[in-house]
Amino acid sequence: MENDWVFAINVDEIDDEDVEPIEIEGKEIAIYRNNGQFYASVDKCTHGNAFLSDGVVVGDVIECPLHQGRFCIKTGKALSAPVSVPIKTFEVKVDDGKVFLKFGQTK
Amino acid sequence: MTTIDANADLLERQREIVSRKTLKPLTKRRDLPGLIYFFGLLGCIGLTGFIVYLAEFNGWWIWPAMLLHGIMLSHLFAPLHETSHGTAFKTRWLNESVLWFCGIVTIWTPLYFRYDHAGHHTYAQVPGKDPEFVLPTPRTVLGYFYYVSAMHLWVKNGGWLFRHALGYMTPFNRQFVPEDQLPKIYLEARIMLAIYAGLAAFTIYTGSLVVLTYWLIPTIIGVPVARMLRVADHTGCVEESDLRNYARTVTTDCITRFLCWNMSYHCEHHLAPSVPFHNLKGLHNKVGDQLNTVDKGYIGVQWEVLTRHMNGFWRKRPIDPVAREASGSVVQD
Repeated sequence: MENDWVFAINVDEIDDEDVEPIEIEGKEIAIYRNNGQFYASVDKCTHGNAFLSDGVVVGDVIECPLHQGRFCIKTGKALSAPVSVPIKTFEVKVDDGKVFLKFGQTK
Repeated sequence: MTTIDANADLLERQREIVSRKTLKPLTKRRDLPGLIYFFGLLGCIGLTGFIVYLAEFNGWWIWPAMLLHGIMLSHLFAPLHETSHGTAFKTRWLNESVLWFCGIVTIWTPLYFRYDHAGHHTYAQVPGKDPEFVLPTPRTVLGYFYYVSAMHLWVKNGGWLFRHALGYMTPFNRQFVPEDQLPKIYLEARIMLAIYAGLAAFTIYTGSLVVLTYWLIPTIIGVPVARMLRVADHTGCVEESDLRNYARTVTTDCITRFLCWNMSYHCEHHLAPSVPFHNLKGLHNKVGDQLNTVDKGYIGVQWEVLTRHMNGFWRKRPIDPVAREASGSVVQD
């Protein structure tokens, strides 16, 4: 399972510059779409534990809905206060209109 | 309740009031509204600064002119607050530049304010935890005037500036800041102090009164008006984490809404801080009927606070627990 590609969401279920929550094996994941590219990370902010999927995608950045801390959706890097701890991201691929992620593998 | 629990509780209550679907379009970022409001405010500051210049040749008129100029300057707190949320502009460098500019002019350390304000959003109106609690019970008329005079503000902001520049932060303030971010906060205080020291040196060396006449004195005498708006945000509302009732949305005129960047919609701002100031009215139109909206204007709210939410004139009376329970934690005289 760790190195298998797991189906996450259909491409047409996410608008561009947006984020959707999914759940795989009880774990909460946020799937992002920006400029036709897809990314995935854990769905919890490392600062206040809010769901990032309730946040705002601005370009390559996800902004937490609670305190507006910002993370890079490509790398998970914490970009601005009040967040300072990065989020875990996952490898993603798109095949036949479906988004898959390597659930156990972080980028 | 831990910070994590408090945040989870907050988001759960938010979802009870407004759905993700409703909120999403309102959270979209733009540059234009922020540019219009920011340069509009700068234009007002330029105009009142020109009035101060004209008044310099007319004796005592200099004081009302500086008061008017100070009222405009103190409203730079509004873009400081909005940029601290990162919601003022879509373009990030614009957001951070305006944050720094407003922080320096209004004497608020911008990065620390961002942490402090995040703490306020997590613990708004929770006694002993909210770092920006304005006049918690028991409150006195004297305490009100101390707050509105902004004396407390200069003590607080000056304390941040000097303590942080010396590499020290109080344990209470420290709870909002991750350990690895402390050097950045200490550095920002040192940079700001260096700027103020430069302005002081310029004033002493040249004998010029420009800094005093156009910035420092107006700021000191004008900031009480902005403090009155802050009193209206929460004071007298329930002192518990209740998204519907722990803040107050004040219906007011368009000039005041412009000056305070729509923070009169304060319940809506606390309900969803991701919504930029220019969409708060839209959020109000959707959920305002579920929130604590008062239609008596800012002066009416000051009167209400002074006549209904005080626990004495200068001496704090003990709180009667029965009365506190009955009035939703606010003892009414």
